[in-house]
Amino acid sequence: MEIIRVEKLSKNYKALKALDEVSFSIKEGELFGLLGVNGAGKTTLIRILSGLAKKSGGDAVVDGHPLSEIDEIKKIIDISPQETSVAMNLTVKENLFFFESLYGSHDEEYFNKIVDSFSLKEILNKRAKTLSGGWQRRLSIAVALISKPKILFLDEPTLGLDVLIRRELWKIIKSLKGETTIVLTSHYLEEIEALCDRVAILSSGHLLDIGTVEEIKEHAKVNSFEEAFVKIVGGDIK
Amino acid sequence: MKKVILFAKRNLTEMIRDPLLYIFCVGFPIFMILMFNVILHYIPDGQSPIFYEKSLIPGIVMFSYSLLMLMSSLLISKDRQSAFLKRLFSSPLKAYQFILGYLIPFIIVGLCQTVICIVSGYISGLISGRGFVDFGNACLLFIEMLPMMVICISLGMIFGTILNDKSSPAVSSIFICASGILGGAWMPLDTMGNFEKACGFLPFYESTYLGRCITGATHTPIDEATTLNPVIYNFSDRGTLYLALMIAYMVVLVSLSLFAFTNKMKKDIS
Ligand SMILES: Nc1ncnc2c1ncn2[C@@H]1O[C@H](COP(=O)(O)OP(=O)(O)O)[C@@H](O)[C@H]1O
Ligand SMILES: [Mg+2]
Repeated sequence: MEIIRVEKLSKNYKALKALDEVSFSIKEGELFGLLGVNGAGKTTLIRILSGLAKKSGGDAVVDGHPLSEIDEIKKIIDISPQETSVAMNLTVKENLFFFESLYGSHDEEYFNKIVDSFSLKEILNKRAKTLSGGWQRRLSIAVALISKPKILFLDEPTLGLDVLIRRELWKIIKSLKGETTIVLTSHYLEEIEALCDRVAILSSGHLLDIGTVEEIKEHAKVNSFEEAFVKIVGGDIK
Repeated sequence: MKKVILFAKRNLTEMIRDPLLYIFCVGFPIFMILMFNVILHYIPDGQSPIFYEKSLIPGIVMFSYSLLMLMSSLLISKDRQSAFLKRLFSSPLKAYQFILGYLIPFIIVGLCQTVICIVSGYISGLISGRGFVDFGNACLLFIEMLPMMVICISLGMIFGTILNDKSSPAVSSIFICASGILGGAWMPLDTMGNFEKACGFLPFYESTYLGRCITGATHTPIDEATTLNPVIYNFSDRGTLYLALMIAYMVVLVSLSLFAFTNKMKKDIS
């Protein structure tokens, strides 16, 4: 069953077409990847779907609600933005509580589960600003999950993190597969390859291809995902 | 309402953990009271009743709110800078819930400040033997100052909303200076004729004036007659006008801050 359908969605910033009539759909429970180089329009797409930006044209239906019913959509989604976004003067625990209560009520079991899977137990009482960048990002993703969203948007979740932390985050994200529909953006090919059920390739606001990693390799008639990406995006990478 | 309280609690926690709060909002007013006691020590008796508790405390309370304005403009402009607030825009929180969530903790801090200033004034009046006010009038003073508190918080919220975290404290400092001087906290405006009248139309002096009417403060002597027979601040002089003005400022500025924030939120989501 599809949970997000994007139909000819466009976004213009003055003369710049950040998104140009993009259409595709995402199935419930899927871990869906948006792949594209910097400036492709990934963040713009996620911002529109989560009510942080207005569309210029087209529409999207999220869990049965068109974008005009964004207040309804906001109740079932959560987003971990590109920048780490937690309350820096609150402790890890307070951050988790804050975001949990913002959307609903406290569920001790689920709360502990999130704390466990993100290994936050030891730092529960530390203030967010005292954590390292990697741990702040971890917390930022954890607070997005604590509200039990039906759909979770992860915008460049491992941007700027070192390899080890990235691998660990991958593990966590993989473990969430199936329960929550996850839309993840990245410009790291290996990240998309490692995690995503299906991928959409965006370039300069256009959707160039969509499918599983295998399908995309087939479309491009090459053996590696990287070659396929280069071939599809073509002139955009020099 | 639950979400408002939740957000208010976060903002209060944020402030309580900021050492600036204690320096500015608690330490500074107390420091002022101490300093004026020292100054009074070196001035002949009866020359400067503006530094007596009855006159000084309403001014200090008013001035302490301008520091609250600084705090609120700082918190909001910093929040806007961080991705935290942007993320909240994608949560079910509505614009009015944001405003209330900011307003409530500042009011709580402001109420504490007022109590601290009044109690310090009482203690200072007791020690110096000049006296201050009885409990009833202290309560009245407390209530009279509330509109001024809301005025300052609203101003801070407006600055925090329309300016970034570099320029909002700068603009707030201008207003802090203005409130110190034009609010008549330690400037004997009552000897300045038309200048005093002009200040009466700005949003600072009214609260000081009205507060002095409540404490029964005496005007600064301007000649021998008034030195011998000090004139008491009188509500029937300009009280009604000032009260009306103060409330008008409050209504206008609260509406403005609502408008500014809603507008900014809409603009950020575009
Ligand atoms: N608020 C904005 N104003 C003007 N241009 C913008 C704005 N946000 C994004 N853009 C432009 O839209 C394009 C897509 O940006 P973005 O969605 O952030 O790309 P990505 O997330 O794929 O790196 C870029 O060219 C970017 O410069
Ligand atoms: Mg991006």
